[in-house]
Amino acid sequence: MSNTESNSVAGMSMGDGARPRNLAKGLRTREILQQVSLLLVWVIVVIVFGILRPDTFLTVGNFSAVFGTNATLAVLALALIVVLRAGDYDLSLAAVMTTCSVTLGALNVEHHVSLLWAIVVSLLMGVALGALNGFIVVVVGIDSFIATLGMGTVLGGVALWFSGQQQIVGVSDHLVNWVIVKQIFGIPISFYYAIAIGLIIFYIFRYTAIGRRLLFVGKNREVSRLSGIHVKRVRFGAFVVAGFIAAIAALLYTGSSGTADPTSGISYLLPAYAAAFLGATCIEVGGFNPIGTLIAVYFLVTGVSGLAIMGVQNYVQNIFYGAVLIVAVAGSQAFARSRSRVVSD
Amino acid sequence: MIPDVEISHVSKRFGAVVALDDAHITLRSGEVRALVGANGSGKSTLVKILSGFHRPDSGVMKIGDIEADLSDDWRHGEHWQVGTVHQDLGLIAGVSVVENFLLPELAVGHAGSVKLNWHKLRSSVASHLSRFDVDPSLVRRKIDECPRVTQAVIALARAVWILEGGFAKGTAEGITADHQRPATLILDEITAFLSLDEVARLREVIRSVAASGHSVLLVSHDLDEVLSFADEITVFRDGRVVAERQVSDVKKAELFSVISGISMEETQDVTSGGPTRSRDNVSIGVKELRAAEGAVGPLSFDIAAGEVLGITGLLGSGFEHVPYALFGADPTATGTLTINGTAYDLSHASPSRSIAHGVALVPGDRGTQGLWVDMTIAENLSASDGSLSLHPWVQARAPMWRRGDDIVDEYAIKAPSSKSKIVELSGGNAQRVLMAKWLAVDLDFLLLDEPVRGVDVGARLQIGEMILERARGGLSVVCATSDHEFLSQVAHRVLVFANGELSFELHPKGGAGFVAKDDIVWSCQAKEDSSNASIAR
Repeated sequence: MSNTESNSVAGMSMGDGARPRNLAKGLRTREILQQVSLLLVWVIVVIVFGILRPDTFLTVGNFSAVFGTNATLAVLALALIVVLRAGDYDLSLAAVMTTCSVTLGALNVEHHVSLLWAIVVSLLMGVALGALNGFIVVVVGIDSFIATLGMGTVLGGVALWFSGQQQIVGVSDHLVNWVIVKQIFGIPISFYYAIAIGLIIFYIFRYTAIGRRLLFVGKNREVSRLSGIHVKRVRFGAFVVAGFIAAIAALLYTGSSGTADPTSGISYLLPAYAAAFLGATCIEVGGFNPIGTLIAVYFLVTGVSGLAIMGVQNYVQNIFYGAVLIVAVAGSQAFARSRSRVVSD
Repeated sequence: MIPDVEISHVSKRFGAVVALDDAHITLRSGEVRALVGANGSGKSTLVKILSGFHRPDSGVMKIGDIEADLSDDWRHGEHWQVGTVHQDLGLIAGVSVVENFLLPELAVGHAGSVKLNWHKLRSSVASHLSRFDVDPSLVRRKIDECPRVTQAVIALARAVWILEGGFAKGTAEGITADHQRPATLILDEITAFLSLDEVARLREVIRSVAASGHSVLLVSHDLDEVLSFADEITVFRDGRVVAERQVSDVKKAELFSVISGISMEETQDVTSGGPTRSRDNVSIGVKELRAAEGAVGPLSFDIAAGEVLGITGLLGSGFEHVPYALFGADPTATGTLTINGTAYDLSHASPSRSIAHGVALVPGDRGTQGLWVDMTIAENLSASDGSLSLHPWVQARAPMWRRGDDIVDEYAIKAPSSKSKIVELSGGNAQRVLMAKWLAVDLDFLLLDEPVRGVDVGARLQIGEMILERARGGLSVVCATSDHEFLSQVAHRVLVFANGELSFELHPKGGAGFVAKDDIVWSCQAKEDSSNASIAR
């Protein structure tokens, strides 16, 4: 970070800072284009698949499915950006979600605990696991990448153990009703949960002191510490909040089929990362942000859905998600470089 | 006879900003030329063009009867060799001297055959180093075991080695300068962090490089150094060459005003007329301070309201730890800090608590400690704004931008608006933002670590004035810096450190407002020169 400063700025001031107006205007237009680029790409993808498969892709049913059935991924990606924004990684979130889901299923189905209490325990489980991650990373001081990679694997095992290594079928219909059956404007209600969480995070990131501290810490811990910010508290808090939101994702994950599956949840991790990094290329360019992440999630699942309708095999999903993750990161780096050129210009 | 390298009509624009405008420079064999100018004056751009990093928009290179268009032939390797040593020296810690030495050649695979003949490599590196008075037995040592000045000499020797043909040349015919082709060694601020003795050592090395037939281009902020090292001086301002002088005909005061564009009378204004102050108006007390894992202290001193207390010493004397220890940023610090009658135990201090007590620290490294460089000016300033803790759930954006814009105006920060990012600013302007971050809030005690490091003359004057302005309002200030020039412009009293302890306390003499630079320089050296340190001078 500091290198960027010394490299790109060394010896070059902006003069009087008076860029010619049309240049500034050009930059402004470019910025706006960049901010909405992903939205444009999404529209193009919709148009292309629409032209290729108008009868199946451009149907209310398909859109309802695309928006309604992917809330789990959206909420998990939102959980992830809280930690990413604070400058840490969390590779355990999909496993946290799975563990919470299995906890919910086991309590409700096998131990006949009421749905409400099962949900409460499951959410607390998310908070506790987030706190455990936070403890290992912030207090013990292990690099977050390694710590959460380890935790993710441990929790993958725990989920299998809690569930007796099989799917727990028959979770209360109420949950299923409140996740996927009820619809507003033809789209399952879970979509609106994801949007609501996204908007809350947007507000917190943008308009609260906590949100600004989170960004400060993510951008530079030492500057934050010397500015009087409780860096450890902020990072710990980010892990806890992410655990809680992952537990909400677990409710949607369980509720969308009425089943707690101890294995398939893990596969949400990569698309969540792809969405978070792709999301950081738009809206608030260069920063992990909830609106960009939501756009990215629905861009990704539109792509996957379109490919499926085209008759492409399932494994293409993995190729698509993985490639998008790499392209998103490469793209944002290339953009950062081009911008620093504009800067030293 | 090695021909001169004459570079002329060099222009370079970055977007709308003209970095160099018809600049010129001549490099003569055997001569040391200094390149001085404020940040943003274009000297770094010129260095980058000479070393082949930037391609100029236009420019002519003349070497003897060869004439070339620099915008075409900007890498110019055939006719003219250039080696550059930057301030960071480009050495890798934890690796031996000989490996560091061969780094540039190993990087491109020129250090001989696939299997390295370490015996041979070591002996040729050792013999090359002995030419620079470096103990040849150091070649096996790790580079970080060498003193900083030796590291600088090694980096310099390495650049000369490459200029002279490197390993291939060294083995075949012994090390000899290429007498047909001119070679230039560019030294970019390499004397930072060195003591006066060390700088003198480096001076000898640089003179010997020049004497062996190379030309040397020295970039430096330190005018004393420039005047003692160089034969010729080129001064840049706003991308143009504004003066070329022989060192023998130039005075420092004149250089100051040419560099800054400020007339000599104005320079005088800032450095004169400090307020008189009564020593009984004590507002800050420091007792039994120990810091840096016990390397510093125990120290006790106090500071009057409105006093600027300078803290200095040679590198390694420990003075630089004091602001961090007083701020609670050093977990090993112990002692008591008393602010307006209330005592705080420093072993339980933290930055956030200190800030709550009205203490602020301006750290020495803007990019890694002071500012979030890829965030906007206004966002950076908002971190010290008390409103962040007043309204945790509602932080409207508009007031943040407004406050930012007000501060940009008030502190004369050159930026289109407070929405500019820190990376878009020059060093001096970024430093103004860093100062403003804490000067714009209510404080009882301000701690400064190197407040003018890497900052141009104009910004230095202004930052000095900012500090004095707040002091006149009653703020107590500690300013830790190795920049004695700056201390002599702001410090009402100076504590000089040696080996982690106080060695001198200096006061202004003969009715002057500030401690004289000569006194500071002398006191820093005194401890090192002999053990009979006496305050009576």
